[in-house]
Amino acid sequence: MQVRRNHRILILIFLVVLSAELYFSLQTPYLDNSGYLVERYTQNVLETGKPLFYDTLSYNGREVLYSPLWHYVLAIFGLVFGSFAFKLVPALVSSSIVLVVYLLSKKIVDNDELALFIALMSGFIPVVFVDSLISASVYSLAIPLMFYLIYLFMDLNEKNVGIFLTLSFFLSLLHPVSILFSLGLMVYYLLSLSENMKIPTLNLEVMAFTFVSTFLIQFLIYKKAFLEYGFSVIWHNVPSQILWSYFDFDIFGMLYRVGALTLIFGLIGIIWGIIKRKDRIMLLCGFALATLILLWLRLLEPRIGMMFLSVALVVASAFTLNLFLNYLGKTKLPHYRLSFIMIVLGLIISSLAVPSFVLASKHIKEDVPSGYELLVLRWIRENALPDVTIVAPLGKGHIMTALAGKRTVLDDNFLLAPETSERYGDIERLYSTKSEVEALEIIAKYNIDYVFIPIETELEYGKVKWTDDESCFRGIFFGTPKVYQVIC
Amino acid sequence: MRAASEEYSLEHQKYIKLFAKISIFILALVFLLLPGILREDEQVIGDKPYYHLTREGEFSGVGPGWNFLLKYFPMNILLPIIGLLSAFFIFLNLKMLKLEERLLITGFFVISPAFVYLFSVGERFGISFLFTLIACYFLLDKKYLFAGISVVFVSLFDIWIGVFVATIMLLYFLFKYNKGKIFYSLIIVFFLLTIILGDFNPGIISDLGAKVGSSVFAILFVAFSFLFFWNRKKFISLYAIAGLLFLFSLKVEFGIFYFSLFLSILVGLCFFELLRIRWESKLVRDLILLIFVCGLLFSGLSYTNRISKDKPDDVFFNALNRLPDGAVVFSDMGYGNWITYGGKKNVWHSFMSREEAEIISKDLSIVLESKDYAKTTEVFEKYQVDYILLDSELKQKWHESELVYLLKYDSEGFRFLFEENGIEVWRFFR
Repeated sequence: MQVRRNHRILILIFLVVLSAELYFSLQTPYLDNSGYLVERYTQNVLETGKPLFYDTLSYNGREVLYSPLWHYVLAIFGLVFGSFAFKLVPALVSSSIVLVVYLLSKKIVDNDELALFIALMSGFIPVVFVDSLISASVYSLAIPLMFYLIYLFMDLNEKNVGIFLTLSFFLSLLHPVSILFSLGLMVYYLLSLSENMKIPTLNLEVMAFTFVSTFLIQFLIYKKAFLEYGFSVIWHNVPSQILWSYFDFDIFGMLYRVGALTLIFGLIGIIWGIIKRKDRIMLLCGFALATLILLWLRLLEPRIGMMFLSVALVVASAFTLNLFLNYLGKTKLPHYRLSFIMIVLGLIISSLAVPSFVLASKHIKEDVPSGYELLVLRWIRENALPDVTIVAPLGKGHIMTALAGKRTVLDDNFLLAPETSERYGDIERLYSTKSEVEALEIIAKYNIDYVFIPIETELEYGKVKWTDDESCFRGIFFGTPKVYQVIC
Repeated sequence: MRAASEEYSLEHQKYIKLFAKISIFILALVFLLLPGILREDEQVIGDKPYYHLTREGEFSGVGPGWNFLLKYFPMNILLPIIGLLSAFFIFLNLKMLKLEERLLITGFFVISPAFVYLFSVGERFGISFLFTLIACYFLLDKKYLFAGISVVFVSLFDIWIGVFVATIMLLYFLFKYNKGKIFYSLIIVFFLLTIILGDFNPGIISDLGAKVGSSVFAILFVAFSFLFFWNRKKFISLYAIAGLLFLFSLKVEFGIFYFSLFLSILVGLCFFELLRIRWESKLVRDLILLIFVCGLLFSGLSYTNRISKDKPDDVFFNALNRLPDGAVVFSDMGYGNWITYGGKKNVWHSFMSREEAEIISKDLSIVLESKDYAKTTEVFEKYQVDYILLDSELKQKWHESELVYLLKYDSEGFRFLFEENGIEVWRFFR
């Protein structure tokens, strides 16, 4: 009976999280910049059945490297749900994190109520919650999958080893973040070695398998990038001007996006787990440490690192909360126990849910194209010649290619893109220069036909003066954004 | 009944071994012929073989023996034969060492990028490698005179490889006759000299873009196996030798071939050992080993594909043919041997001594970095340049150089002659 009740509550939590995600994501019919990239690649799968490996629009035409598995998953759902799949599938798989975290927490503390509470917490981690709304992000699947693998790893036996191997292979195929999984296992191994704790042989063997298969698959998929950049592939060919800010880690932002109390409870859980030599906590610690090391070395985008770190911390906080509840039971405050617990739990939830909702509202308002922007882009799609090139700032590249259907000079899909630093520098100069001669030089260099000036750019660099020359630039739209056609 | 069964079993094993040998032979043949099959042009791959081809029949220059030999044997026939013979001698050497894993090791080596490079790019290293193996075979067979003669042959193809092989042989003798102190002292000297002399060449992994290198999967496999065998004495010494050769290959051009061979031996040994040890899950063991084999094959095939697309192509020589014989053509250093092979004179080439190359580089840096017409003219006149040849890769490499600027805007000194399939030729008026 108790089990059934817990399962019902768990399903309810899952539905609450799913509803919350869909509530926000369906407030806008649009996607964000990265979402449009996913949409375009998925559309290609739907139209041709094949992944897009030569993108004629990005960077005026360039080769692209990625694993198309996620796009195939979306395409399958897209056949049934159409464009709604880009909102539904990420929300669905992202919400499943509550199920995975429930299983993990139960394994760590063996307390059903607490596990359910931790599951609820995991559904509202701000950084994870926001990512699955309008980005059609692959991480919405990669995160639950990775933590499910951790769950399987905790209790590995002859029966589930096959499932582990299959899913681990699937994760490697899905996204390079599987490297983080392998590294996490490696750190766990080292930690156990240092603590003189014995890891079962089967676990060691699957660790080896995970490491080897991840390495092979990443090499197969990203062979060209490895050949082109060698070890520098870890910097993803990010333009040198933004390399450091791209990987910049903001500790205060982390407090807000991960949840301050989650961070505190999670860290206490991990430290306490290590002191008490708890094997399962040690495993989580391995992942948290691997993520932190990658973040510290600036090898992982902070946003992505924080997503994985926050889930690990939420699971680890189960250990702290369990200790806390046990301690309360031993104190002379049994009468106040319930209210005390409610306050603490309320605080935790509000430290997660409130930032989640605030960030989500902001995200769906600010990161999608505005109505006017959409009008402009539709006009370009319908009226400009098919092979024209539009220049837009870095953050608008995928929106341009997806909605206007025209070539762009630059976007944030840097891997294998040509001369990213040079292009980034040129585009910055184009928007900031006062000299028409300099602007025309850049325009000629990239065969630019239309100049797209969003409000953000004008706020950053001020008014773009050289567009005033009517003999060279014909104004098409003068609101926000402005669009000029190059006519000279 | 039992005797019949044993006889059948022995016969069965014999056939399996024969089948394995034939498979390795076919594999070697495939990897030797594949670059030529995949290649769209008839031209020999790489830059350095053209140095030897220009000097065919001469017993001089770098690799005199190889230069001499090329007059009598066509390079494209000689290379696969040397490759097959090398694979055969690797097998024989391993047999002499009584290694059960000899077939597997030979197989791993023939699919390695080093093997593909050695016997697809007509440098002097392939033939030197073969004679090294022959020398080792005679040495293990205690036919020291023949071994010595083979080392002399190695020296004819490359004197430094000859010195290297002679040192290895000396170390072998010292080890064999228990001269421990001298042996270890020499190892230390070898180690120190390797560290002190020369510059480090970081590109020795072919999968990470090195021109010639080892498979990243072979290195990873050996590193991975170390976790299992770090406490076994036999493996420790093998790993030490591999480490030393790895260091050597970081410094010396031909070191990578010997390191790759040793790496293949280590991979083969570890592979068998991993099969032998007890695994909790046989499925995991088989999958891991399968992944590694796939990885090794992938490295070899991807390198073969890459090398088959290497320069030069017919387009380059067609452009050169349009210029008068004996004219001085300025282009990249890596194109120097092609220019000479095409019947013209180059300004620099990749076989120059370091001092010579440094002087020319210093002069030419003025050409590439200065917008000053007078200085550029002075350098070009010094080297008596008649033509400047740029292909698309070079245009990209030098796109910010001042030479390209002068070519575009100084019509007095330079005149555009023609553009053919991406190759531009400019005339310089002295």
